[in-house]
Amino acid sequence: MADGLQNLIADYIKKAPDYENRALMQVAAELLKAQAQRLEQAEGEVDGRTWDHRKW
Amino acid sequence: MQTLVIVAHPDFDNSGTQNFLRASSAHLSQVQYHVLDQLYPDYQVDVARERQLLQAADQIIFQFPLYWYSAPASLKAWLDQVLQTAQEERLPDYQGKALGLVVSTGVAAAQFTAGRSEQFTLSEILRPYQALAHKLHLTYRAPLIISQFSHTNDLQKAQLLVQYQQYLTSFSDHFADQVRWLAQRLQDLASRNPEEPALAAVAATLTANQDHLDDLNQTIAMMKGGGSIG
Repeated sequence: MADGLQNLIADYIKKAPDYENRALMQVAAELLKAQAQRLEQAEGEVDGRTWDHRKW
Repeated sequence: MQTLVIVAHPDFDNSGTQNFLRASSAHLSQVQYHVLDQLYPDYQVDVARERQLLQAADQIIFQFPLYWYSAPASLKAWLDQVLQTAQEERLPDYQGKALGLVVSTGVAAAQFTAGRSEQFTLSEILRPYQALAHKLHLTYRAPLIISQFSHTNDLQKAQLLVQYQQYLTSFSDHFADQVRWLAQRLQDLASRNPEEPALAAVAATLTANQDHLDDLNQTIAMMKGGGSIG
């Protein structure tokens, strides 16, 4: 996650007066982390499958 | 989608879990709360009224703490009276509706398995509700289990709030749908709070990441020969 976005999230969570909105943002931050992990895995899988030894 | 939450709890107002859940759903316009122990403290149910509520709902949720591996008495009394009266030969038709369960347990979720303290899984313990859904032609949803609510930390509570809201308003529990649901919520908040840049920025990033992820998964499925990726 980009630092800029991370700072925006941290600021929002710190000052959001409404518990529900704060909770939504906390979970969004976790989903962004999960997405980053899934993206890395999916990109790795595409690379792995593209790297076909039979085409060497 | 209209969701009817039927709560069985003998001390609803003093339950931390139930208060948290009610507050979590307070702003959801298509969710109706229905606390049996408060409406019918003597367990004498207004069958006609309950039938009307059931017919108006797309989704019915039974929400209760697990007491001796079952629901509190008010839910059993409600089921006994509402599902079929002595004068009826046939059950009412609930085809097309869904049945969900929101169940809280005082024991850690990990104990509900063979070889641990509770011996049986929650899928086994809650089987009567699955059978009920089957009999009534309701679509049975995977239950939402809340274990040891009082031990949860701040982040876990936030996750429960979102998970609960999603359970009440959407049938899907796929990661991609959860992301899009949350991005939409943040986008709605952003349009009401344009002075908060984080809301729109996070909504846009979640959506862009998910589009990218969906593309990659589609590519992988094609590489595998047409299978779909869950």
